[in-house]
Amino acid sequence: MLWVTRPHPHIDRTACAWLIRRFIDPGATFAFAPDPEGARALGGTPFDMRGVELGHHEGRCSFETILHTHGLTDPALHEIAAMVHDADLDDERFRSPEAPGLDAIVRGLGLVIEDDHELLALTDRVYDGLYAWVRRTLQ
Amino acid sequence: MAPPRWVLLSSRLPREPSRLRLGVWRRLKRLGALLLHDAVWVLPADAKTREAFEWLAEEIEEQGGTAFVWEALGLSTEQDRVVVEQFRREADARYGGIAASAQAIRDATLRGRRRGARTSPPAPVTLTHAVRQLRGLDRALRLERRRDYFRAAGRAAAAAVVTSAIADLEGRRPAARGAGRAHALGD
Repeated sequence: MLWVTRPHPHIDRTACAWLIRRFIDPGATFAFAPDPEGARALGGTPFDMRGVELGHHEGRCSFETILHTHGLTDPALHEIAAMVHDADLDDERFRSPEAPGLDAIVRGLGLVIEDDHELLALTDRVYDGLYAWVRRTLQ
Repeated sequence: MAPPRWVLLSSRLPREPSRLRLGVWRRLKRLGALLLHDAVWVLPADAKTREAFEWLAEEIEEQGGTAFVWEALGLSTEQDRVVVEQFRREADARYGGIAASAQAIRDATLRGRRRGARTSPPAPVTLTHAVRQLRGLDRALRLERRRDYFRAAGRAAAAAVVTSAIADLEGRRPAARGAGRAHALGD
């Protein structure tokens, strides 16, 4: 399936892409468009765009919305959702200690990697590592 | 180091209701954006700052205004230096405010103690309240770091003032004194 989000992804979009690829659609491919019309033109499912189902709703960031919509209950994913929420929205809702570090890493990677697909390939490994780390603490 | 890239926003909002303009202004200040020549708001460009301006521009248009967002490179390193220094000055002013508040809370709490009966320690409730206020300032410092894009010198100074004010007051709380003794014995 093709999934479409806005270019130059930061925390929420990179984390959503990882979540989709690892837990929802192993064959996922990603493309970038500035708005939902652009996403539809490409024939893909939009995420983290204004006014789409898989976006910000009721104070939730897109990552949390996707967890919710797909009924994913893995506690490690919910802990990563707290990091993503705090890093994305800066509202300290979960006071996640990892959030400022994650924000710095993903923003910094965006400064040195021009190609968004290359960025997603790299952030996938960052979230793989975070997931393994959280799973170990929860086992 | 590659020269810094900047993200710029200019906007026009309907004059009324004024809360729209105020709301946008507050959001920009919260982001730590710098207003240049009363015309253009600027932030160092990265995925997050770009996104913040994009969302804000969309909201401005939804509210009947117009907005433009650019990504830009300065044409001289001197200009970049001037802009960076201005970011640092604004951040330093905010850090200075936090440090001054911390100092004032500490001083007022200890002064109050001297005015009271000479032998009685400061009321625990007074100390607890003051420490809570200082911890609030510690949180404010964390928020401040987020919009301090160029590590202004005032960051470390303000953190030191808040930390030592908390330590000064914590040291006068009976529970903290007891804990301190136990720790000293343990060592």
